[in-house]
Amino acid sequence: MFKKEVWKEIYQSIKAHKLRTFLTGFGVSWGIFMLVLLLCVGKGFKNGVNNQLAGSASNAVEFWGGKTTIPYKGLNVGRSIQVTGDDMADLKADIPVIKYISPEANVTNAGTISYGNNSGVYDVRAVFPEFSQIEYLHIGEGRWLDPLDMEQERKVAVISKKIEDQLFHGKDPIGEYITIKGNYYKVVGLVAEDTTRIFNFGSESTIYLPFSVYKAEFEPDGKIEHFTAVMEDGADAESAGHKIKKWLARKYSFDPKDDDALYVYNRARNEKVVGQLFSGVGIFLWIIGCSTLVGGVVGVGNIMLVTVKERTKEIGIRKALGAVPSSIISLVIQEAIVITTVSGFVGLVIASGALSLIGKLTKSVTYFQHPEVDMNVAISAIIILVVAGALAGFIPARNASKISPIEALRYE
Amino acid sequence: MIRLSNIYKSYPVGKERLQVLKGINLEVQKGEMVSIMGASGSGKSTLLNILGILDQYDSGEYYIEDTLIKNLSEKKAAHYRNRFIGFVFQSYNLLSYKNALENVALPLYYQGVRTKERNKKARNYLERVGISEWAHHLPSELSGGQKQRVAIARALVTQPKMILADEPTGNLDSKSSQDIMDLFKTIHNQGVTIIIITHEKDIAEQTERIITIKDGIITN
Repeated sequence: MFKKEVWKEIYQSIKAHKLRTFLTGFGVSWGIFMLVLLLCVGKGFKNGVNNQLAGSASNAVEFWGGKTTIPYKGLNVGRSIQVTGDDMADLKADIPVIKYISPEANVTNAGTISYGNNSGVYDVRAVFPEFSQIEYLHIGEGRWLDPLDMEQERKVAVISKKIEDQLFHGKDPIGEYITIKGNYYKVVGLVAEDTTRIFNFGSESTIYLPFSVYKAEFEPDGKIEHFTAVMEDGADAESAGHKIKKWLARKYSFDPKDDDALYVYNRARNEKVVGQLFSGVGIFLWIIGCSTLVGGVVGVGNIMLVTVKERTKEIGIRKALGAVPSSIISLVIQEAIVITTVSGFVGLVIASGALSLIGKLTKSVTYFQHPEVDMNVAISAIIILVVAGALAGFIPARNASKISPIEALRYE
Repeated sequence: MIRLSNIYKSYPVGKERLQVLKGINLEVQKGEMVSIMGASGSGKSTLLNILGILDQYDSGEYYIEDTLIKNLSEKKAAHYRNRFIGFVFQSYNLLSYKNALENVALPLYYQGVRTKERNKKARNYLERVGISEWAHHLPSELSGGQKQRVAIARALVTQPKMILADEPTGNLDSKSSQDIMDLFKTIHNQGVTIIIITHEKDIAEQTERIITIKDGIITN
């Protein structure tokens, strides 16, 4: 299709109208620039949020105790429902679809926590060892809580980087003892700083204790406000959550339909919603980007119309010299394709440059990750460009082929 | 060689049809150099367009050698124009952004001749019209006479069955005009059939035969 002569023809034609070709090309470059930028920025946000979600198990359901609002079996409304740590093991035994389960109990009035002369106020949270399968905490140094800690009610603690900085000032904390409510706890592990997460608020200033220690030291009843259950892979989190709620409803005598007695939050559903949101946003960005591009393409079509009009006489001469209509059509369409493709590539290159710059500038922004141009976007952009170029050239080319040589030769 | 018999042609003018050619009978022999004379409105240009396969006619027959030129598709017409006819126009009609050599080579491009061969032939014909040293100049750098020489070279390069020249000296001073006529005579002597459409008597008189057209019919 593209012979050497054709390239020469196109080159000469473009060279004869440099400014006009540049301005037309700019429209297309801008269109592709915007399209690629929008798509990749959208992708950056998607990557960022997915990364956030990847920080914790997705097939999980969270529960909070609440107050009853529906009378049940003669019992009044307004009763507080408080689950205990002991329920966890029973739940796991009765509902096999539960893979991991862990309470999260905060030590209330933990006060100042100190090491030597240094002290600070932090969240103190009691969990099961399998909590690390629910929230993916990265252990930087030492180890995470283990089943023996639970069994033997060892007074051990896992602290975060921020707490290490404030209490230890660079000294190795592993094996040292910190004071919580007058008791010594041995630091066994350090949670590495994880900047990619925003949803787990406060995790950077949390001290984790074994739940058995919490029960022994602070809360003999083992009452908890919050627990999370991760279901087996492929299991339906929604129905498993219902089962758990039913089980608890029977035990604590509340109506299973009472949404306020026990708050249930299904992470899987949340992720699905986020996924849908992002595909919606993706489609929206495609539409905006393509609309911008359409502007550029219409510009090319317009310019090609002007070019054809201007070259009426030339086309007439060519016809008199023996040019068949198809050669005129292909000349015009090919010129349009070359203009759109070349300027589109320029836009693509500038966009990838801009994106790598944006990527560098936003490296620390957790909800915006890797906004690079991927192969899919680049290939779709190129296909769009060639098709758009052909479309832009189509009407002008048809006009050109209809030019009668007699009329054209008289045209001055 | 070229034979027109009973050619009729009319154009719509409003609701009426204007009869422009009213039965043209014309024969031009191979190797002849003839001129067609006529005032404006005589049907001269229409005849030229039909001869040049640029326009259709209503009835009659037009043969170039043994080929009937009638109701051709655009593609076929383009093909015959390319093979049979070399045009020379009053306003030269060179492509402004192509140099002399490229202009001469263009008809060969539409024949699918390869670049190298094309340029060789084009150079050869530029030499024959005496301006080979201007091969790489753009039309805008050439004088009227030189441009017309390029146009003649372009008309000759496909070795057509006839050269159709439409007022070839209309834009030229008398010196250049005579040069171009001399060139036509030289080409004619090499055996090329030439038809010159003109309204200038002294140009027409330099041809072998003058065909006069008036009100759509040939009067002599």
